[in-house]
Amino acid sequence: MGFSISGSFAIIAFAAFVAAGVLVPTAINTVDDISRAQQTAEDNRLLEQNTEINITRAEWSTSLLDDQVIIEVENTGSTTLDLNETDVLVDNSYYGRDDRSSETVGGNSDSGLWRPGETYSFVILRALLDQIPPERVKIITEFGVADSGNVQG
Amino acid sequence: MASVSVSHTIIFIASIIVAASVAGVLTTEVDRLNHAVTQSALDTSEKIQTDIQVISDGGSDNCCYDSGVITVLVKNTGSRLLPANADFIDVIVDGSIETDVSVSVVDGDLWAPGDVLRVEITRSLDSGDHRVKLIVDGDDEVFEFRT
Repeated sequence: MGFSISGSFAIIAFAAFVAAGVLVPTAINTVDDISRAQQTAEDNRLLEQNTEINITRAEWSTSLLDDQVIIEVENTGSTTLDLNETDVLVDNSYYGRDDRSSETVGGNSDSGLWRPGETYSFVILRALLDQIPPERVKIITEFGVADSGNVQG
Repeated sequence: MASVSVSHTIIFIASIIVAASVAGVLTTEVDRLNHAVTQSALDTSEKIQTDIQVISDGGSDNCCYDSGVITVLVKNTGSRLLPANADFIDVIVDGSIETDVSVSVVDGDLWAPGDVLRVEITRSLDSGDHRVKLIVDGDDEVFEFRT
């Protein structure tokens, strides 16, 4: 009788040991995955809170060479931004980096980093615009922080 | 005396069979639980990493309706790649679910973090105020505009 109980107990104990061996790593990985996702989301939220931009110039310029809208935006936050992830809307039409001419950031024409305190300036040529003269400009950073304004001139 | 040994043997075999059955059920159920927990954690992790934002310029007269098509620009402000697929996005306009929806990434091939998706909804609107709600993997954004 005692041997039956011992044998049964040994089998169930072994199964419980195997089950725990399966569950424990899963529980650890689960907590780890969710913690990392939360940490990334927290980091992004912090970067978003530290991001601020200000359109200092949005001007429609007509000249003999080419009509264009000149845009200057200052990074007034404390986060370094990526120009590739910065979006430009003129009259609600999207303009990617390839559509922007005469790009400079902080006076530098070959940098993709937009550091705090620097001004990002560029023009969009008339040929690319949907509406002449343009009326509205909106700049959106990689974290979704945006500034918009009317085009002067 | 022999009958006692036989009884013990029968009880021993029966107890081993019962224990093996319990062990089998236990390991099977734990395996199923393991799969469920893993999938649930994956879903939760993806939901946490998903964030979108409508970036259309509501202040522009060109926003966001023209000839029966509503166009909304949506930026991936989360930290994971999202499928650029209309089936992945639930669109509600003025309280009605819309199914005639097409999408395209405007600044790349994939809707990666930082990239913008153009969502076009075929739907006639009267003059007035309108409300578009977009839901992507549990994250929702509301955008209001005037036609």
